[in-house]
Amino acid sequence: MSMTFEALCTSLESKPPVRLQVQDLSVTYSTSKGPVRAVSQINFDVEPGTNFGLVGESGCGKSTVVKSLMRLLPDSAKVGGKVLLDGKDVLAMDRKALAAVRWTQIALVTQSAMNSLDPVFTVGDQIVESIRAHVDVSHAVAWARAEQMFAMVGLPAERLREYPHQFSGGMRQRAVIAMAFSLNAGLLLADEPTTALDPIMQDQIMSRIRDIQQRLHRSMVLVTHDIAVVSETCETVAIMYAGRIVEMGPTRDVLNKAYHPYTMGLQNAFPRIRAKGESKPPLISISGGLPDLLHPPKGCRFEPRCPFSTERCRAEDPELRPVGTVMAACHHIDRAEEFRRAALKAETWRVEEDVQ
Amino acid sequence: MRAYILRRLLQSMLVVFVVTTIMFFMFRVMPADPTTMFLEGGMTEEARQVLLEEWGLNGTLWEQYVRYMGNLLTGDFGNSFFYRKPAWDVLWPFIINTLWIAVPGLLLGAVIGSGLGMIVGWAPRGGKVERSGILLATIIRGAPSFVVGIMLLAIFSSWLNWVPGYGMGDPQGATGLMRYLNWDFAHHLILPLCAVIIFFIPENLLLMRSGVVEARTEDYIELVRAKGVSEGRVAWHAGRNSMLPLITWLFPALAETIAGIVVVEIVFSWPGVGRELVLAVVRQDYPVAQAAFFLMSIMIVLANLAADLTYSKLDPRVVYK
Repeated sequence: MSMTFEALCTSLESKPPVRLQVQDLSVTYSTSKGPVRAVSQINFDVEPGTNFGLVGESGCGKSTVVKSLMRLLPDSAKVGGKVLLDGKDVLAMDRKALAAVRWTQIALVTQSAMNSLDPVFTVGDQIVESIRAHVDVSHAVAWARAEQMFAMVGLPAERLREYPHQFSGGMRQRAVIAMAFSLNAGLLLADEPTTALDPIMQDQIMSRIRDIQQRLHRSMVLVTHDIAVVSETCETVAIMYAGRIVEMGPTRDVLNKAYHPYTMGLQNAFPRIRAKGESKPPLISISGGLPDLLHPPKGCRFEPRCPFSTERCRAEDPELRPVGTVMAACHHIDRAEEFRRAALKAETWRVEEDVQ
Repeated sequence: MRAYILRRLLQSMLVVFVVTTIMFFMFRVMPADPTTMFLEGGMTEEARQVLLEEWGLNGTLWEQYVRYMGNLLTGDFGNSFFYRKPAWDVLWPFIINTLWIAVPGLLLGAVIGSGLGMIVGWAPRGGKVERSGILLATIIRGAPSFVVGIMLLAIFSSWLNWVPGYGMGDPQGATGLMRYLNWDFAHHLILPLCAVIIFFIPENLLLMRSGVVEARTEDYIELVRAKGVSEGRVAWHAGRNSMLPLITWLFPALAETIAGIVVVEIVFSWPGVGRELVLAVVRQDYPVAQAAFFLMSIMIVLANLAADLTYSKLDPRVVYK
């Protein structure tokens, strides 16, 4: 007996949010030049019904983390550690159990709005596919659910019959979001959901996601390089650098009172909203690039770009340690106050030409 | 859409007209005179003229051409010099024979080939399935087209003696459709049919494989997988997207392979239209050869049109105006 629309909605609405615990997660890609450790021993928890932000520059491994949570990485990636969804380890699941968990417990909003829908199927059919893969409902019932999801993201139901190429970028991203909520999964992974869109659309999409999250009370991991988005959306934030978490804690504390120089530098690189009368702070970029993960530095991975680096930073890799309400991986947590002041000045971040 | 089809049909007619014209003159400039081949010696000059007139070979080349095209418009392909009856009546049974091996052969070849291509394309890169699939397809594709046929004959006919190796059997007085609906015919059909299928598999396989290999890294495939559908369903998304380049190639290839079937017909002595065409050229039987080429050009032109129209069905992004 397949379910009626009402029964489907009732069963989906009663789903609790999921608790996510990530323990010692490591991802190693085997390449022709040798193993590359894209993610090393990451730990974080997402409490049920909260939003967790994962922030870092391109290539720091944040998308790799998200994909490994759903086991979407190619076979060339070796994933270690544990990904616990309400205590069950996703990484240890067999194929069948994994397929059952995908989309019912953990759903995904992918990065590129333009290419994440199959061009030769209608958008409605793709949403219906996600529903009928897991719940025994008729096509008509699944379609009604898709219409409901379209209404939630503000798209007219008749456009379900159209193909992705008939949608604008913003509409496509909304369709992908509608699909992500089709089974009301307890945990939503949003991998840079607004990167491909223009700023106005970015704002619309993010507030749409926030609204839905608030209403449905889901857990979410939001990956972004935009600190402003995180500060508006997430209770907790982790700053990633070169495959590691370098600072993590309540978003307000991390952003107001950073302990890691990278977090300070990252904030400088984004425009800030000023209080009245405050002078416009300059945008300061962090010079240099991410270290080569084939041959990672012996000491702190941020050391080559850090304006405050010392001999100890070069020799010794700092651990993530609690300090106040947050955790930070820096040898000089005690000098954070001094760093914060210096970090606001552009000349601090200016690289001196290497004379050899 | 209707305007597009109409325009394409007009273009197609132009192509057929040009091909027919070229065919007409090519046969006429060939350095041989059919009359010397077909006329018994000792015929009087007067009798020869009568025959020439009957065959449409009198008058200047230009006059012959105008007459030929005029007859063509009324569906008259002229009379065969060799069989001494209308070319169309000669060709028709041969065409039927060819269709028996061509249509199921091409369809099965396309289905089996693209199905295998999907499996090979979806298999792990650099693995056993991929490597052996590509190797096999390349060997078959690389071998001269008669080799497969001769090997089939050697194994299943000469050595195992399972099937006959020659012709299409004896209808034993059966007429109409019953000529074909009997065990003897099927027994004769199976080997040439297999040859056509095998002949057609490699290109389908390789094209489908490269399409799937390309599609499997697309973002939408990742999202389909994330939805928790079966792996076969994920592969179907990749395969469905890979059909587009396959179709562009498939339809014109169908028509070309009709010509390629000549080889199969000759190897298996299958009395098909391809084999008859070769014989007609050798016999300088112009009307039959020209009629066969005329039909072939129409098939190729229609196949191209069918490819374009199917393409718009398979890919919603394609719109014809």
